Amino acid sequence: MLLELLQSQDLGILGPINFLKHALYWAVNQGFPLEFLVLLLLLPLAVSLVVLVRYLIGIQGLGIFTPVMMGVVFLNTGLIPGILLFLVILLFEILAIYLLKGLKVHFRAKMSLVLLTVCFCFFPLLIFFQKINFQSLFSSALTSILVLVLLGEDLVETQFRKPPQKIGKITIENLILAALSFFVLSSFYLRKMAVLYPELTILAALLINLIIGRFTGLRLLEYRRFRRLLRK
Amino acid sequence: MAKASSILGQNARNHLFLSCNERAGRKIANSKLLTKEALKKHGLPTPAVLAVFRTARKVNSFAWETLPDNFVLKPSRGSGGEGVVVVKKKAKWAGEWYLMDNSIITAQDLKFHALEILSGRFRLHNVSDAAFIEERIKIQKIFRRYVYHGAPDIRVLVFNKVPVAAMLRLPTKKSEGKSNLYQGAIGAGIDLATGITTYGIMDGRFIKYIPETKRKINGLKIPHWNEILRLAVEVQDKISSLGFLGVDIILDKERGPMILELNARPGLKIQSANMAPLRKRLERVEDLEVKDVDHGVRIAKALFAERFADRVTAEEGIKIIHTWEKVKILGKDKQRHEVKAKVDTGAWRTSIDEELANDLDLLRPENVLWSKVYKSGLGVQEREVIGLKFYLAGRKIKTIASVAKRSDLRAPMIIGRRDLKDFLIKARKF
Repeated sequence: MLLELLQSQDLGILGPINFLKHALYWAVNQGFPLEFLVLLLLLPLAVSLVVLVRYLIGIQGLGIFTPVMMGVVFLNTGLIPGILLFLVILLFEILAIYLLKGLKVHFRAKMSLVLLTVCFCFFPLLIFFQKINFQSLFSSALTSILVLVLLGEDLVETQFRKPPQKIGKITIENLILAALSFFVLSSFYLRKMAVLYPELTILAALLINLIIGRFTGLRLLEYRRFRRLLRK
Repeated sequence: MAKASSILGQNARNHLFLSCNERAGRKIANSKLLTKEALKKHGLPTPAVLAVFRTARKVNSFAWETLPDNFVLKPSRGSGGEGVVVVKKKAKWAGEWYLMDNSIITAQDLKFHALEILSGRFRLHNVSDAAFIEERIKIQKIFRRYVYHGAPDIRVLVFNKVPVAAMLRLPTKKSEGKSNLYQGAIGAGIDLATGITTYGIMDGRFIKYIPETKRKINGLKIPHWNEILRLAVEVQDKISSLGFLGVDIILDKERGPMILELNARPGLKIQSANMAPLRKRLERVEDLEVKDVDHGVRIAKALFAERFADRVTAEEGIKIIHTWEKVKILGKDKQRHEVKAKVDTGAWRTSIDEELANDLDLLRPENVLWSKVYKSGLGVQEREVIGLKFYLAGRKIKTIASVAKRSDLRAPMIIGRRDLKDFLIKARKF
């Protein structure tokens, strides 16, 4: 579909506003999958939108790359199964931490043990997945699920230090941002845009970062945070 | 109503103000050990360090049993009070101590915790760190009724050598003796002019009373307030690579204010605790030329005083009164009688209405001191001068007063200059 779109259009003479389109065309002809090229173009846009949400709205999550990474994983697993799977993994990780809290080993050894526990817990989970006929998910997204386990570890690490409410907040924020980047990466319209006007996606990402990077006003959530001050 | 543009949000803080902190300064502030070194170099007071651990070998070879009754084990680069262990007192056996919640910690546990700090558990990205043991400060008596346990400290935000906001941080049960808001401590705004607490926040919510001790948060006057402000400015004066910093000051019972740590990335909650938007304050002092430490403190007091500040005044012992005051006259019956009086700096001696004096039985012969012929705006008259005791603005004044017919005048009593020593008169009410 996208490929047809790419091939159906008139390239025109190579110039400053269509050089990327030419590059795209060339790469496809050399046998690189278009899907990969489109994702390559949309990835900066996804990160830029996460940046925008962070500075304009105030949803922070764990930095900007972890949520986008999760979004990439969700591309393989699908959004809803991905989120559910992640929450299940997170639950196991928190449980494992709770179990290992009293154990006196070095911090990173403990994190490694948490991972071990989670991997072990996957086996009973498989029975459950088999019951609901979900095996197909694992064959289509096997490494993605491993990445999800490791990403969960990232989140859980904060759990050791921060109060429990905090990790809930970070998790939710992270999932919102992950869903956002998932939508960016999987949106048909944006994909179409990346194929037809690849320069535009780059320009959009550039502009977002340059404009938002200078914004010094209050973030949307800060209006709530300082509402008493604003009301005074 | 505060405008959104006068509030300091994260974007503005990071983009506009954190850039005032140079690399060298950030390096000092980010390491508590380097901070202490820098403070010592400039002769600024800071709690003593009992031991420093940079290697696991040092942790293992250290004689933990020799530590005093109470102390604090801290990571050098931890943030938000993470990894801090506050030890309250010795337990029954050697090598055992009580923590703030009365659970027992052994030398072995402390050793392990120190090793964890060294491995960087409490640092971002788990880069290795140093641990140190700091003496525990004996808190001032005035705070004892306010804190559940632990030592409160005072965060002063300094920008361009002017204190722009201050906050008292009171540890709670939840914060385990630590005074970081992040750990659940209470933040109470402090009026810069007087050092009196105003509003309180805890876990992002406004509170009026301290949950554990049921004490009112506002109205606490911080002792050594001037010294605290001076000390905070002095830090910036000496370590000039920190242009926008939070200075955490703790009050020792005997030694007074001491600097606990510096913060090159101070939090924004101080705005809520003071109910005062910060961005406007920062912009106001940004371009000022501050001559020295005292000048900076004076600017802060003049610019950022709360409304009640002039009623309290920083100068101890001076009371402000208005032109019309209610005074209480002590009659012969030992009762206080309230009377409206006019403060009149044009008169030397206090004067009281004849009828009123008679009513209060002040004209009895033994109270009349002498009589004198007076020339005044009311013509030539003979007036008696009597002994008079009255209360003005809560102060007892024992004086003499002349008696005059004032019944047709607005005030049955005027208070003259003679009795206005130690008062400031404010011509307008507000």
